Amino acid sequence: MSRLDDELKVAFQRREPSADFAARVLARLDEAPIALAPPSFWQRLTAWFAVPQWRLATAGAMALLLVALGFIVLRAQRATGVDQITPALTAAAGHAASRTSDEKDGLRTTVAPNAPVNLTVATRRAPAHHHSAVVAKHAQPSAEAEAAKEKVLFALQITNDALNDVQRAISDDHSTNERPEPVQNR
Amino acid sequence: MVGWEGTTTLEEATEARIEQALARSVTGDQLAFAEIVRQHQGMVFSLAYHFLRDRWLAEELAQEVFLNLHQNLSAIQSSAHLTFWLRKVTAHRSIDQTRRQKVRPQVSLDDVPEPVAPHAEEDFLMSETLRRLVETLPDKARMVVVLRYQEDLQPAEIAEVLDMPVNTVKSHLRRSLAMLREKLSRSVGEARA
Repeated sequence: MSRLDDELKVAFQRREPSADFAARVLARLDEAPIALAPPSFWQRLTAWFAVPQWRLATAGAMALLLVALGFIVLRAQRATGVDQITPALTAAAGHAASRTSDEKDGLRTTVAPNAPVNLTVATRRAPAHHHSAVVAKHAQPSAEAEAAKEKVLFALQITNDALNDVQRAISDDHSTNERPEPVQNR
Repeated sequence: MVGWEGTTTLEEATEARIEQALARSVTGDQLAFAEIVRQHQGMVFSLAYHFLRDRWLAEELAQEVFLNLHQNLSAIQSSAHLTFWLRKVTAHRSIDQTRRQKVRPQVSLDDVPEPVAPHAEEDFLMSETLRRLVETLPDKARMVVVLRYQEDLQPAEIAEVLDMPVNTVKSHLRRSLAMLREKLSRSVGEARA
């Protein structure tokens, strides 16, 4: 080590403070016990929010949470609105289908009044009315219930179409039987 | 200081005593805390004094450091950690104190009395000259020099205390010593002339 280093070590040797230094430190400890008390939970919470970055972060997180909640509520309301519209649409479709089949069956009824179609139509009409009555009763049916209802209606419609075909076939046979025999050309 | 195997050196005995005092201080034992203060007051006061060059300010600052230590006793893990913590807090508070004052004594070499007296006084004057020259260094460089020559710390240890890169510490040391050598050689040359 150079001479300069040695001189510097001598120049910067440790020194002692005044003789009563430790006593004065302890006296200051006794004088300010409140200041040395650890901060309370609320003080720490307030201090946490005092930092601008954390304050901004908290505000941003809360805003995102509110937006997310708003989206959830909006989706729930839209789903409820769809649930309310769907049965009405389904009932209207059912009405239209039943009216159409009624018109068809009304024509055939005159030919075969005892055909089971009437009953079927009547029977089929009842479910539609019944269905609309049920729909009217339920203010907010669930999505699953609505889907089930739609499936039932669809199945009924298919059945109705099939029965109409059968009725048509039967009426065609009847009309064939009643037709006069063609005159044979001699 | 290295002791024989099976024996406890003076430093180890002191460390053990400080560890016990630390443990008791955490529980609120003021006598134990007073012992910790007495063991480390020289280091803390000297760091502040050699940096600030004001005895009263240095004692005030040293007291605040120990009051701060009392609030953070539970965070101190060992005797070595205590020493490191005291050096770090004292160094940073001393630098902050200088910045608050915003007035640093500027001593020119012409104001420093030239060494003309016998050997003992010459050593004293040399020490005083060196202290005054170090006082004119920038804050961080000054603290680097004080930590290096008062505490005999290596550049890596100084870097940890001051939260500074090691190369920056070495650079401060190199430049400071170069400045001191230049000014001392100039003063010796003028004295001979």
